[in-house]
Amino acid sequence: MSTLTCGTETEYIEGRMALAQTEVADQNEVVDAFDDDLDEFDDEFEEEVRTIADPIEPFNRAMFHFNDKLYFWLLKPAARGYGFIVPEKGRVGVRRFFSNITTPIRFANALLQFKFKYAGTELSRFLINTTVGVAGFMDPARDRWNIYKQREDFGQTLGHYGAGPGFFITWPFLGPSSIRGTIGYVGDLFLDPTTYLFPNERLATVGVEAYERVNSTSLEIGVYEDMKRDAIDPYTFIRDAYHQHREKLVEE
Amino acid sequence: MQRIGRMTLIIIALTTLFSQSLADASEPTDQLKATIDEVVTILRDPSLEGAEMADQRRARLRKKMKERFTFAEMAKRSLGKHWREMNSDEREEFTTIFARLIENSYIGKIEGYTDEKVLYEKEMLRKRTAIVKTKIITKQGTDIPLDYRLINRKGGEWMVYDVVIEGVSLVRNYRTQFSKALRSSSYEDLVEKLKSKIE
Repeated sequence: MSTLTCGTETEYIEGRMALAQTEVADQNEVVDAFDDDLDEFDDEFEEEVRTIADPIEPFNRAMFHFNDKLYFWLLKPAARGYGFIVPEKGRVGVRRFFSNITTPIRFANALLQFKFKYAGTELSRFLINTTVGVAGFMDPARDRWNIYKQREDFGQTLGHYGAGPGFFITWPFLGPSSIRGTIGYVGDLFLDPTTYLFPNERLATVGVEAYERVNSTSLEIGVYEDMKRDAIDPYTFIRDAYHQHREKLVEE
Repeated sequence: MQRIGRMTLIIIALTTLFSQSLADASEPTDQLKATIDEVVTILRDPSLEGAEMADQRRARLRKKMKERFTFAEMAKRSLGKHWREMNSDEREEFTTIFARLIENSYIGKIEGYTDEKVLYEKEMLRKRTAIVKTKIITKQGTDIPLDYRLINRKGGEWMVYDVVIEGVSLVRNYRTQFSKALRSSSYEDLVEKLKSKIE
């Protein structure tokens, strides 16, 4: 679930970033860059460095268009109808359930990066939420004990060990990604319990994924629309936001 | 059940050892927090609730934002090197339009936030700039990291010049979009496009 569709771009807004381990030094570098007056540093250069390569832009734009239509014509109406039947509390519960069963992805990737503290956090959350939180439908770890989800995935693990993002890819259905993000996504599928739920029924597995997507979309209706309204060029907006967001996650 | 309870207690005891204590608040955090508290008060004010009070509510929110946000700084940093090539009239025009866009976007987003909790996690302070890291704990079960970048004004006021949501800097994101727009067409076209966004 590390890759996103156009409908749930904001799924990453829902995710959370690590808080504790951000080095103050790293942050100071960021401040430093802004501390200087604009005249004193070469903007063009900075922009060049921080932008993700996009050699297949025409393909990406076509896929962006496809995902955009997919959202407005299919995903959004489905999510609306579903949201009309299932109360919000229930949908939040379902989202939490899916988040809880994908703990192995976050736990394993924290371990792979030797982030034992984050791995511990994920383990505690899983134990608490699976028991007290009734199979993960509730999140007492967060709501009662302020233990927050750690967002780790295989794409971040690859980045942690020095792999660059490669270039930008927009997948149909899955949304914005990169070479690294795509390899990470496939890697995480092996740790995702829903992959093994119906070993001989690929269609059922896709069904579960689709249901999860509809459920999370139903909680995010309006976010994609707002983004499109605020952006000068929605495609560039998404590409840059994806890149900034991923680099930030890798940094932590 | 008692066993589960005891186990949970142990886990909690262990994890609280790891949990981070709140950073000691100082000037930038205090000032930002004061503004956010006032914004939340407006959002929760029952006399300003509902669609019929929207204009009044938004006017109040806009006023609060103007006190804490420096739109000129935002516009300047969003345009980067293009800012240097603009005359003062253009800069003023651009800042006004850009401010409106940011206000609308920000207000549209926070209007739904009434029960959300804001955690002030950390502050990083330099001579003229500071970063205040916050986290929005939403009632829909998600946590949104939201960082404010502030710049110190004469007189000691700390003003927000960038908002970073989930690692995505508003200024940087607009800069990428603006520079692309200015490469492929004119400044006039960009202004037209922005104007159409705020109408």
